[in-house]
Order: sequence, then structure tokens, then C-alpha cells
Amino acid sequence: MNDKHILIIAELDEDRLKPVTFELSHHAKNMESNPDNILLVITGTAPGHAAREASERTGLDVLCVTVSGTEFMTNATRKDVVVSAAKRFNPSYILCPHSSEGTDYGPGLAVRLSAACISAVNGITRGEDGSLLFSRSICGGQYNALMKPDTKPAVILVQPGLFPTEKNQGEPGRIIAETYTTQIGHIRMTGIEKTRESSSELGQAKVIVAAGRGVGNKENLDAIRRFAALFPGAAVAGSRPLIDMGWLEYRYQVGITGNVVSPPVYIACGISGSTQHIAGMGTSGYVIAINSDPHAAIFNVSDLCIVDDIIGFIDAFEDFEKEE
Amino acid sequence: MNILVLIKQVPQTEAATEINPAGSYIERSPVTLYKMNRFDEYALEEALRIKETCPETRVDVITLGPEHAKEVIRRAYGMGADNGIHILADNSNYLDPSAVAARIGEEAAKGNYDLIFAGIMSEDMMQSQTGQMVAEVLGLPCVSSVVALTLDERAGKVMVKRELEGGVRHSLEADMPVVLTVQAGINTPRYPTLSKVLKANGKDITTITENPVPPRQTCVLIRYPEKQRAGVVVEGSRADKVRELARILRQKNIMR
Repeated sequence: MNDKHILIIAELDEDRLKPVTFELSHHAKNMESNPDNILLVITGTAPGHAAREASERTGLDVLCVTVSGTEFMTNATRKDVVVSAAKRFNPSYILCPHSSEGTDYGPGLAVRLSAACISAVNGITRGEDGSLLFSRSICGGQYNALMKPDTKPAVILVQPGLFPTEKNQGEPGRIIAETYTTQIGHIRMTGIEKTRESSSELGQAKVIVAAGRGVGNKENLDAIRRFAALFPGAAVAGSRPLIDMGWLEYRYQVGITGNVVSPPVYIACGISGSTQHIAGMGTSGYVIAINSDPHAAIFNVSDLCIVDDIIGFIDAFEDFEKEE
Repeated sequence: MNILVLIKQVPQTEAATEINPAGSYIERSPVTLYKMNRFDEYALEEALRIKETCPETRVDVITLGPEHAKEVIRRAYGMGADNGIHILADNSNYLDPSAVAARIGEEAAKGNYDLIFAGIMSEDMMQSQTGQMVAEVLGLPCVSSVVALTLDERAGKVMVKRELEGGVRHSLEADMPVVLTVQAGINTPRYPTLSKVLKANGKDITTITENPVPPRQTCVLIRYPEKQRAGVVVEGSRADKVRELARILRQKNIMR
């Protein structure tokens, strides 16, 4: 079999492909002009349907690995499958999603392959010498670092939800079917919970007023609620740290591990703007950010920026409205 | 039981951080105040809770960083950790997680640990790699993004819940020794107690200097993120800002 320049590791939700797979194929085609040099790897207990869909939608060749001996895919099995593919296809880059699944196997995979691992990638560009550079957000989103891998292969974990998916107009790719037998190892699945419902309130809101750590304390959420009450059809939400501290219920969390929302107006109150939060609200219609730190990353994704202490600002806003 | 917790010192805020003159990395002002990475506090708290319920449990902490990273071990002592290991390393340039994991793994291999905890990521670099890499270096199983844990010491296993996207959780059973990376919200980390803090001042820290492991990636350039939207900054006094926001919200029919 010929070498491949790029391997894409697909992600499934049960037996269906997640959209991030098509975001990765979009990236791979920007990195490599000849699609014959790209191979998409799909691993699962029943991956046949997903493999056909992937070959049709991307036009790329697909390595379809059916795993037997277990009903639950552990990170150990995923690492074994990708290591085996990497040894045979000798890629320069292995693209995986920076998801809870991708970060579960990606770093260990890199260690096994003596490879660089660049995670939470939010952009791919070329340097002056033409080499590929991978951009990632650091210091709470204040800066982007451009990283260059010094190894072949390099494991690249790409942040989902930031890029368009692609649609192939041409012929479907070939499917290479393989089987892999594994044994139940040191980690065993005992159950799946899907109990935490997302909030339909956030899905329907015209305005979302979202609070972050900058509100200071739980009592100050009252000010956020009073602020939201000024706007008909508004709902209150929060960033992850508030939910972790128990200030708001999980169903009000906005971000990659909570709700992904897209209201006509999003007002970020005391939110610093981590990549995880932005992935949950970046497509909102009009974004207003109020934060005392003029360097807060949230201002990079805002239409209107107000540098001020959030509670003091809300008090003044309420006073102004009473006078009006 | 022997438990190791990976901890990292991070800045309290990034306000005093700048791009270095070469543009190749960040530079922190000498007056920067530091703290323990928030996610590592959850990891350490989880270890200390096991120590409280299982007699003869030892909780060690390990960190890699410059001289001032010792403060984070003192903090861990104040919370109740027994031993601290400090791998001295210059962090004025980008530290590759594979190199960090190789050095931590080397030390962890000496300790005969049943459980190794790490935070899911560091607040400053946000890479989510070190814990999983240490597991691989040691040839141990690993569960990342743990949000609940029950220990069955007699059976030599832990029952954990792992958080995925959209509120989905997987319940897993893992044999020890195992590496667990801990997600925020699993517990409420304790504050250091005064008596432990006082004791911590006299306590030894094992300090290790050694040759750095070569990195596998290079930070080529640091730049400010591009503005993805208009980013109009409302200028003036607070009253001016209030008036302008009210005007815009009325214009957009958000407010009557």
C-alpha cells in the first residue's frame, strides 16, 4: 500500500459520523492538494455504514476497521488501531478531533509513536519556509501560539466547531476493510448516562445574558438576572466555572461541554472567553461583552466591547433606565 | 496506598504577561503572582479524600518548573500532601508536554503508585496532554475527564464517571494502578489549614535537577488573536457607556 501524507481519525456518535470528521477532511485538503495522499480511518464495532458515508461525502479513501472482542472502544484499542495504521501508511500528520474522545487517546498515541502532539488547534497556516504551522490559543485566549512539529508523524488535535465541513462533488473513495480483535483490558464500560438535559429555554431565547467568573460571587447573579429582566425574551446562562461552583445548574452552561447556543443577541458579563466557551456561542447574531479586563479574549469575538466592572455597570444601567 | 498528584503552578492572572522581544514566546513580569492550577486543586482534593478514608495512604505531589514553582508544593502541603517532588526546569521557553511527561514519568516510576491524578488541563497552556502522556510513559491505563470516583481498594479498582460532550457520562471500571485526569466540579477543593501551612514551611521538598528531554515541537511565533468581529469599543465615562448600550439595544429592538 502506498504511503499517505495525512491520516484523519474519524469520530462516531454510536455508529454515525460526527460533523468534526468533515471539518478534519476540509483541513486535510487544505494541507495536501492531492486527495490520494489522505486516508480517513474509521474504527468501531460496526463502522461499515459510517465508512460508506465518509467515502461518499469526502471522496477520500477510507480504512474501515471493525473491532471485535469488545462492545466498548477504550482509548487503548483506539491507540492500537491508529499505531498499526501509522506504521503501514507512514503519515506526516495524524489529524484527530480535540474532543473528549480525541484528548483521551491522542496524547498517549503520540507517546507511542514518539510524535509531537499539538492540541486544541484553532487554525492551520504556512510559515515563510512553506512548512505547516498549527495555531493554538494560550493564556486564556489572550494569545495564539504558532507551533511547528519536529517529528514525523505529528499528532494534531483540531478544535471542533470552528471550521466549515466539506462536501465532495466527485467520486467516492475506496474502502479498505480490516478487522481488529481486542481483549477486554484494564478499563471496562459499565454504563452510559444521558441524564443532563440541555435547556430549551436557551435554545429559544432572543437574548442570552451569560455570566462568568467576573461577576465575583453568587449573590451578584441577582444583578445579572435583573439585567436580563430588562430584555423581553431573555434567558440567563453561565460559563463553566460558575456551574462547577454550583452557582447555576448544568442546563444553563454555555460552552463545548454544555449548550451550544446561537441567539440573536448574546451579552457576555464578566466572561474571559476561553476557547471552550467561545465554541458554545461563537455563532450568535450580535455579541456584546462587558469585562473589566481590556485584554479579555471575549472581546475578540464581540461586536460591541464595554470595558467596565460588570456589577457597577449593571447598577448604573438600571438607574439610567429608571430615569428614562 | 500510594497516590501521586501532578500539580502545576500557573499565574493568578495573565494581565502581566507579554510577548517576548523575539516574538517567539510569552514573558511574565517578575512581579507575577502565582497559584495552583485550578484543575489540579480538584485532583489533589480527590487524593486527600481517599487518604481520609483509607488508612496508610500516602499522597505525594510532583511539579515541574522554575525555582518559584516550589510555592505550589507548599500550598499542597498546606492542604495535606505528604511529600513533594520538584523537578527544576526553566519555563521561559515553550515546554513540550511530551518532554514534561517523560521527566515526570521517570520520577513516578520510582514511587510504586496505585493511583496517579492530574488536572484535565492547565489554565495557562490548556493542552490536556500531560496526564495521558505520563500514563503511556509508565504503560498504565488512563481515564481522562473524570467527574466522579469511588474506590474499591480491596478489589484493586476504581469506579469512575467520565464526562463527554453534551452532558453524556460514561461509567467505567478501571484496575489500579491507573492514571486519572480530573475535570472541574468533581469536588470542592479545601483551603490550606493554618497548622499545616506552618508545618509546611519546615518540610523538605525533594528537588531534582536533570538534563532536559528534547522537545518534539517548537513554538515559532506568538501573536494576538485576530478580531473575528467588529469589536467596537464604547469609549467615555460609565454614564456614556450606559447611554450608548441602551441606545444600541433600543435600535436593535431588544429593549422597549
